[in-house]
Amino acid sequence: MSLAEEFAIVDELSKLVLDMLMLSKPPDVPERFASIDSLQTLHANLLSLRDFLSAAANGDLSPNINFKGYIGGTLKMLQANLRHMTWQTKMVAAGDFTQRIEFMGDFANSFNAMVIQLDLTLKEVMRKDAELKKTNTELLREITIRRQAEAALLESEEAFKTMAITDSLTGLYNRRHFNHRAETEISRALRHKRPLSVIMLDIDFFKRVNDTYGHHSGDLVLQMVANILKESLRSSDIPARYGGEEFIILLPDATAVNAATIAETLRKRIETATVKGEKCTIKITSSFGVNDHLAKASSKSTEKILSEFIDKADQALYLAKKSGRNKVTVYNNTKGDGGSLLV
Amino acid sequence: MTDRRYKFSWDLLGDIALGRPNLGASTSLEVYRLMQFTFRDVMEQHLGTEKTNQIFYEAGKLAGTELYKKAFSAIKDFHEFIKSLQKTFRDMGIGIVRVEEADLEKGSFVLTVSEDLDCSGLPELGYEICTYDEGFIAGLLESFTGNPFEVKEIDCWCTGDRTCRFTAEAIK
Ligand SMILES: [Zn+2]
Repeated sequence: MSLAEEFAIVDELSKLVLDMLMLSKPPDVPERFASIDSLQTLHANLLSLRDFLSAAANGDLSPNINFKGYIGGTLKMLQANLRHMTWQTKMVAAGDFTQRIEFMGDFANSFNAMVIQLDLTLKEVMRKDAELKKTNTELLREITIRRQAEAALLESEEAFKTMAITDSLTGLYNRRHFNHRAETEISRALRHKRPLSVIMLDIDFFKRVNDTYGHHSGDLVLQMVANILKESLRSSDIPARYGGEEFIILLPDATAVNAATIAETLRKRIETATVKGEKCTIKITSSFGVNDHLAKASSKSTEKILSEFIDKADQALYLAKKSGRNKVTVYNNTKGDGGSLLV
Repeated sequence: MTDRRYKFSWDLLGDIALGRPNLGASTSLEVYRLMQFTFRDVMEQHLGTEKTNQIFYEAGKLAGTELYKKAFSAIKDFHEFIKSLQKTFRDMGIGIVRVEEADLEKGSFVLTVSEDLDCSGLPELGYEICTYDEGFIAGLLESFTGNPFEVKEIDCWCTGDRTCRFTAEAIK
């Protein structure tokens, strides 16, 4: 073989290797060199190198590098680095911020800086979240405290209102509130032309009860009468303690006859009821005056109408007392303004 | 064998600080490899290649099991275990362990060890040589998971790969 022929073969083989490196579709080993093992190995290694690089460029790190030596070893190192980095990234994603990449120069530095920053940011977010939760809890507690205070205030206001209109011993309305309610009821009765009655009630010989059994027993007697009123009356009736041993009941929509019947029931219940004193049992009676005569609205004030209305019941009560006590007397106006009294 | 003279115990390693006040705990890698390769030589002459490899694998496995008991037995979380393993391998100068794939449920792992104590820098021999490491990794994984593992070195410095790559598969 001449030198020129040898050169031509080398040239052909060099071009084959270059084509393996350059062309997008790699050439096969020419038929006439097919029996040369080292050329077949070189060809196979270059094909394997091409496959690996092409896959890696597209992000696929799975192909095996099935040749050894410097190039193969270096590629395996690169493959190991990238695969390990993928695994580390998964660990970071799962919350392990202690992962650090080594041996990959700038890339490693940037990755590590990112993980550190991520860690710091997340910690900051978590800290702020915790702070927010704490503030929220405090706010909720503050709201609860305020609500409780508000409720307590409302309750005490309510208690205060009740106190202002109630007689503390008997739990009935006091005189002032009775008058207030009575004026409203009078206006309503006059406006709608409805009947309205009032009963005055006075405990007979109450001074004697106090003197004989003591003030405490006197209080018990008053409470007992108040309880009988509460139990016996309709919810629309308005009973009150009018002063001392005197009680008053306003009965909307009731005529004197209705009111007298109710008064009679009350009289009987009081008569038969007993109070347990310190040493003995106390029995009492009571007298009643009933009135349903209401002056016409005309020129008089409601206040004036009320005072006359009550005064007539009082006159009837006076008559009940005078004629022997423990009875119900109804005011009768048939004979003119002074009026007579019917038993 | 009933009468054991060499049954392994960490005590056998002695008190290094006391014994080497001047030379310290480290020695040259050359000496370590000198011992390992002379062992291989003599064992192979007496027992054959296959038996020698088996002995190295089993010795590595014993070492992995013992190291697990000493250093890792308290760890319950797999990722913690791997991290601790990486640190220990590095601190002890065994090699740089890295994980490429880890599927604890399937019991399938791909690990690489760079700058391996046994084989890094060795001449190209055409066969994987890190049999001791295979056993070592198997001992560690078996201890952690409680399952037997088959560990194979698929790439080795000695086969021209520059990184030792091991697959570990749980035997089911
Ligand atoms: Zn190796």
